[in-house]
This record gives sequence, C-alpha cells and structure tokens, in this order.
Amino acid sequence: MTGAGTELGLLGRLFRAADPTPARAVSRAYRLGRDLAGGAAARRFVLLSDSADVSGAGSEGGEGERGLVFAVAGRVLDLALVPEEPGLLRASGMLLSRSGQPVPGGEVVFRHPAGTRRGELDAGGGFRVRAVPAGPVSVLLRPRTGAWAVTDWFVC
Amino acid sequence: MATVTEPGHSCGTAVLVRRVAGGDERAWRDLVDRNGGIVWGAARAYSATRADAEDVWQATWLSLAENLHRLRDAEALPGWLVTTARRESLRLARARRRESPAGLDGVLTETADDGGDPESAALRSVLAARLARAFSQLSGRCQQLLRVMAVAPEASYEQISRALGVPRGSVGPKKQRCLRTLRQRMLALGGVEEPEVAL
Repeated sequence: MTGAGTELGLLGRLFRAADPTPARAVSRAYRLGRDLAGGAAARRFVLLSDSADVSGAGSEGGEGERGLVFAVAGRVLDLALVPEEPGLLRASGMLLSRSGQPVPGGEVVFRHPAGTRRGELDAGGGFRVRAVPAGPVSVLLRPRTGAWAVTDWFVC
Repeated sequence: MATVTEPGHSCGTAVLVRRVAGGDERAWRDLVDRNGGIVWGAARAYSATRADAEDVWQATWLSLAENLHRLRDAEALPGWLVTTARRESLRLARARRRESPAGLDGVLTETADDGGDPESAALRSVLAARLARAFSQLSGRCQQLLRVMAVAPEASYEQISRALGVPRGSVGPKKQRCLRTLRQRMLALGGVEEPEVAL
C-alpha cells in the first residue's frame, strides 16, 4: 500500500469509527425499501385543482387559505395551507381512497429547501403539520399500507 | 490510479438495482448497506452538522428511490449517490446560508453515542486524536476531497471529479497536496510514526 493509500485508509477507518452513519438514519433509509416493495416505484400525484389558480377566488375555508387537490392511482390528497405567521404555513388535509374512504395511518412529509416537516396520518386519514416554510415544497405521503406517492414541487 | 469498480461488485450492484426495481425490499437494504458509507461520507463532507447530514442522507436515498428506473448504468451508482448527496448538501447550505463543511472539527465531540466499544477506545488514542486535529486544520476543499476519497477508495478520479464537480485533471494533484498538508499538520502536532499501531 502506498503512503497516500495508508493515510486515506486511516482516515476512512477514523470516519467509520468516530462518525458512523446513525442507526436511525439507516432505519429510515431501509423503510424506503419497504415502500418500494409496496409500490415498486415512486408514484407521482397529479394536481387536480388549486384555489390559487382560480382568478379572484375567495378562500373556501378561511382567510388566506389555499386548497389543493392531488390524485394518484387509488388515492386523493386534499390539502389546505393557511398562513400561520410570517413565512410559515400550517398544512392540514386528508388522504382518501378513490371511493372516498380515509386512508388511516402513515406519514406525511413536507420537503422544503431547508429540510423536512413531518406529520402522522391519523385514524381518519387526516394530518396537520405546522411551521411549513413558505416557498417551494413537495409533499410525500407514506401510508402504512400501500404504495407511497409524492407531489411535484410547488410554491406555497 | 484506482480502478473504477471491481467487476464482481458492479455486477452485484446491477443485479441489486434490477431486484429493487422489481420491489425486492431485501435488495434495497443491501444497496443501502453497500453504499451507505459513501453516502454518509459525502453528506458529512458537505454538511455543517450531523443533523444536516441526516437530512441529506435521507434526501439522497429518497432521490434514488424516485429515480431508480432512470438509472441505466449500475456501475455509476456510487458516483451518482455522491453527486446527489453533494447537491442536496449544497442546496441545504444555500437555504440556510451556511457554506462551511463539517470536516472533523467536531468528530470527537459530535459523534454517535456509541459508549465504550473498542472502536471508540481506539479513537481516543493519541494518534487518532492527532489525525482528527490535523484533518480539521485542512481547508474545507481538502476536507471534502479527502473525506469522499477515504470512504470511496475504489472510486476513480473521473468518478470523483464528476461527483465533486472538479476538473478531472486536478483530482490527483489536489489529493497529493492535501495529503502533504495533512502530513505536515501531523508532524507539527507530534509525529506520524507507526500510525497502524494506534488505529
């Protein structure tokens, strides 16, 4: 082994010993495999409606509320975004089957440029996530059963 | 120069990718196990904190899951993962307006809670601490380059150049310069004799 190889080898061992991948991070990565096994591939929600696109539309659910509806095979995501404080939004909504039945249990993840905000799907398929940064987001739904799906990035 | 990848290894990766695309959860875990060190190394090389690196780690695997069907060359997977981790890290850094790499500044203090296992005991050895200190005194770019090369020793210079976004011809000279500086720092801190003994 060369001197450089030895040093890089030592550094590699140092990193592995002193700074290993956190077990919880590995578990989360493994979970993606379960999701893939459930659906074989990431599925993309299609945007069906966006109250922000309706010119002059008033908010349906309250002042400043924006409603979006996404769909993917067998699933409908009904999402509401409400300003919470400057630069932050409160997201709430529900994941339903195509027949309108709630999809209980699972995780909803709002991905944004600085990280993620997470919430749980309750027994009625509902969720609420606070402090979602205004700006580009993508929503990932990971129901306990069935495939997971993700929206394209949009600006909220 | 290092070889690109061992033939058997790349063949195995190609098979794993096909199995994952077919919904094989076990194959996905194998992919994570096989490439986790590279992804974590790249995430740490370009992230300011372990918490940021965890976000980058997850975003990288999520991106792979989303783009697996587009991956044509399994051999290129490690490079793709490093590139993705670097981009995710820089995106996060821009968003948080922090550009400094983690390096090893906090590696002896900001480590996993792994108690008193033998590896931790070794880490506390004088030489390991000295190596960590010498590494932390390198420039950010040197830390990033050496960190990625240390966790992906089989990567070719071409893969490294693509993954880190640096000219291919500069990888070798930069690596030598960074290692030379590392040796000088080690010497200044008290020597590099018999490093194998301590680690």
